[in-house]
Amino acid sequence: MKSLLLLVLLLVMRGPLLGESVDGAFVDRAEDYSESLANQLHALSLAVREKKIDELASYFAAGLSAGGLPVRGDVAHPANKWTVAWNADWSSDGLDREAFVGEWRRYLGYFSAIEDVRFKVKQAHFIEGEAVQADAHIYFAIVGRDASGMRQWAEAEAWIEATLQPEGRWLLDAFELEKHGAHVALTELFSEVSLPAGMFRSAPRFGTPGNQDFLAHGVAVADIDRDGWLDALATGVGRNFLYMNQGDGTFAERASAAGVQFTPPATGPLFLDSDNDGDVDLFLAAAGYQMLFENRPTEEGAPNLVDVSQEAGVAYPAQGFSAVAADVDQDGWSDIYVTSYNQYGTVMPNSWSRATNGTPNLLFVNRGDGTFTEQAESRGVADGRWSYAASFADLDEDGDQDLYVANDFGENGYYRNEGGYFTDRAEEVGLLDPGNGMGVSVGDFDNDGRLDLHVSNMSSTAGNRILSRLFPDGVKQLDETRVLNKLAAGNTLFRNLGSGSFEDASQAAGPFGAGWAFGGGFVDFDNDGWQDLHAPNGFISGKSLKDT
Amino acid sequence: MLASSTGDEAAGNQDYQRGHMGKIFAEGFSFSGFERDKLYLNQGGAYVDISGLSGLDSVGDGRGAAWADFDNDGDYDLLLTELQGQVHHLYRNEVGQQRHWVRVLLEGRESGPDAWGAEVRVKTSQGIAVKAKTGGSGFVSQGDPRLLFGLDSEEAVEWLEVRWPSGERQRFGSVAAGATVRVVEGEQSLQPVELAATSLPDPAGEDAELLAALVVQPRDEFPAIALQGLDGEQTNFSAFRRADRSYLINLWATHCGPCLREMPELAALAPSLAANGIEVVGISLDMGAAKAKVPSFARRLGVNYPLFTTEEHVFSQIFSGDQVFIPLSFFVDREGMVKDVMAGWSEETAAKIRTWSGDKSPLTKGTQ
Repeated sequence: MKSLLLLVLLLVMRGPLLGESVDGAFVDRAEDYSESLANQLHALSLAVREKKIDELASYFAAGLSAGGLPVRGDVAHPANKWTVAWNADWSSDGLDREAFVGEWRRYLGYFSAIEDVRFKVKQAHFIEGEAVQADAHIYFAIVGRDASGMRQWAEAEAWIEATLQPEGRWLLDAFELEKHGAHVALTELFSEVSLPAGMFRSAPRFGTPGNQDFLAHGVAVADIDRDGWLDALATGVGRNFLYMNQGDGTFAERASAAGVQFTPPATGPLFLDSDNDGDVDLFLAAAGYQMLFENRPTEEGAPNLVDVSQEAGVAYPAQGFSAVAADVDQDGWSDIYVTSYNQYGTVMPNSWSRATNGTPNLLFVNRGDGTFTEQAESRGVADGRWSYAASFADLDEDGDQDLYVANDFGENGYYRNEGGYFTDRAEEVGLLDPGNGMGVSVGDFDNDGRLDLHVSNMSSTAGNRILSRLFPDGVKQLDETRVLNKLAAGNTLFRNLGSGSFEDASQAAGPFGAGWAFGGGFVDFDNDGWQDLHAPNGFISGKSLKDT
Repeated sequence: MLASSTGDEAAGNQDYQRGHMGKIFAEGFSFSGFERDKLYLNQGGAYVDISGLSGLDSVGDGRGAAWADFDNDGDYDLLLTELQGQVHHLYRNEVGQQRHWVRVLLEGRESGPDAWGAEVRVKTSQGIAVKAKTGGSGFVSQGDPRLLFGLDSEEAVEWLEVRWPSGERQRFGSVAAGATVRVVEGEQSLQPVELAATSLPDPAGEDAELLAALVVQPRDEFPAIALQGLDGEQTNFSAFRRADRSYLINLWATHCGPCLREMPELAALAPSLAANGIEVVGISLDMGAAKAKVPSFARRLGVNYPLFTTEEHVFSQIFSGDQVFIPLSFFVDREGMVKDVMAGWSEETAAKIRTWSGDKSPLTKGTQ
């Protein structure tokens, strides 16, 4: 399979951008070679994961010449408060095949358990002679546990040479480790408890019947029965889940009893008191008609969510994803903003980075009588750039709620609230962030008392690799390439400088190459007073484990 | 330049991309898949990647994330949602509660009860920390509406300030670490709040594999699966269920040896279970021609409790994967909720059921 990313890149970057020095057909073939090499490395990854040393050896040419692998030193130094780094050294002496296999046997002995191994091709050059030869930089990571059972994580980069054999296999002729870092956790930071807590649920593989849509999978938290324990609602495939906190560390699924198990397919859930009566109501964004459920609790205080979408005036069609709340006009009633995408596949974005053909976002302004009026257009926030996510915050510190909108195929919107009406100031204050925006979070990362912004984007090993091949001379100053560079750059952290201006602090404070990152954001998980960052990621893991 | 591409070109791109995307999904290819979720530790304003050591670096396709203190122990746990496979992941925070914290609950008046966007600042010897109460952020997600401030080793905050969306600002004096306080807009003093605390359970033990293979989980409502009586009458479980009794639902099939061995035992226990308000119900998973054999098997085994057959689509309401395993029994309470799941037939299962039946005779293996 050819990388979709390559196809997209070739499509959007035809013509003068490519320059005369680049042979488009060769770029295409080279990416085919890269993929076949990557697939070979994937097979090698599985052999390493299973510690199948003989199979691993079968990927090395008889005449292999290689450097050594790291020797873990006795003394590790603290890398940060939660982990220690290996003191490690390795030789670059020319080892033969047998000695190199022995190195792997020794090195993998540092892992008492291996959960995951990934080898990836970062950069590769190919020479087409009698046999195709590759000269590549690769990355690999091993996640597991060390001899004492603590979590251990190694990441490394290496330079390899390989030759494509007549039967289609690559054999490694050379392997030289260039960088290596390994860390061991000092303690367990998080433990998965889904199953004993009553939150274990599974859905079919993506693309098969019952799970064929990108939508759903939203989650919202509130103390919906006001018992002092937080409950959660997750929108799922074909149904929703309402997890009522039992106060003993476990949850009971009560969507049916609350009246929201089966709704039209929903995306982003939002708990809010929409009618200021003191209980928690539920808004559900949807690719379809938006929904509002008024809570009319039972005598026992259990949630009873009644569909009032029509009466409340929110049953508007949209390709809704995230729903967020704030009082935009400062009348004491919560208003609701819904980001709207488009039907990807039926409609394609009219640009990879400046699309204008998404469906307009919605702003439901609360009238204070149980009804809402949709005013996105008149209030200036009908963003139509394939919006995935948004967050309200007083970013310009003037007391009202501004809005930041993350757009997948467009630049992002920073809508300053000016008396309940909004103006997009993203360009003038440096908040365009022309990546594929998929999430936004607000928090003070440098403890200067100002709210900063974190925006989730994509970063891709394949994107990096392809861009460097298209631009061997580093021709990256053109606007379009700057945009495309964001494909590979990762998440963005904007530092709030005060008086409404921002600077990009991603490189200074990061970087954040977080893969195909959706939402997440700021959280001080260890209560040290500093906001850490979390980024869930991964687009689609298929039946085939091969990936680029 | 990109925006100026001609209509024909745009149309061509669309067909190309759409065809390719369709192929990817139909054939099960991966596209930026198998990525491990990221966690970056903030060290004084600069971040270091600790993902592979965090324990929350799920390799699945992450979508929503809600950080919330579900067990009220003073740190944020994580509820993560994914695209496929295991779609919900709950991670217990193991370290945050070891450090100091204060928790702030906001209740607006002029700003409306939720007071979305309200900002709280706390002063410690380390400086001033600010958090906003956001009404949703990240991607399709909304986390803990209460604000938890990590204090590291500080014993208290010197002062606490709230900037309400209405424009009102309020400042309060010292709050001790470990306290939860409610601030009501316009009221002059903080209200101390006593929140009960517990701990999310320990990671899964031995029954993990069984439960992972099931859609129906303990504390779930037992699904309204389609049932057909041996007389041919169509019904479903929720129509059949009565609110004044519990049910022991036993899934079996005529080809299942262990099932056929346990059914006479169930029949022997059925009257005393009934006397305790528990009705035994047998559901045969036989399909096709084998369904016709169910009545004769029932007679031969002496089944004295209601028996039903069902339809193949019911399998996916009970089992999460392709594997269907029986005997499998569910204990369903008077609210229709699953209280227990038992796979296979063992001394422990028999003992458990005898206990429900009121049989106080000595049990083997000390099972209670």
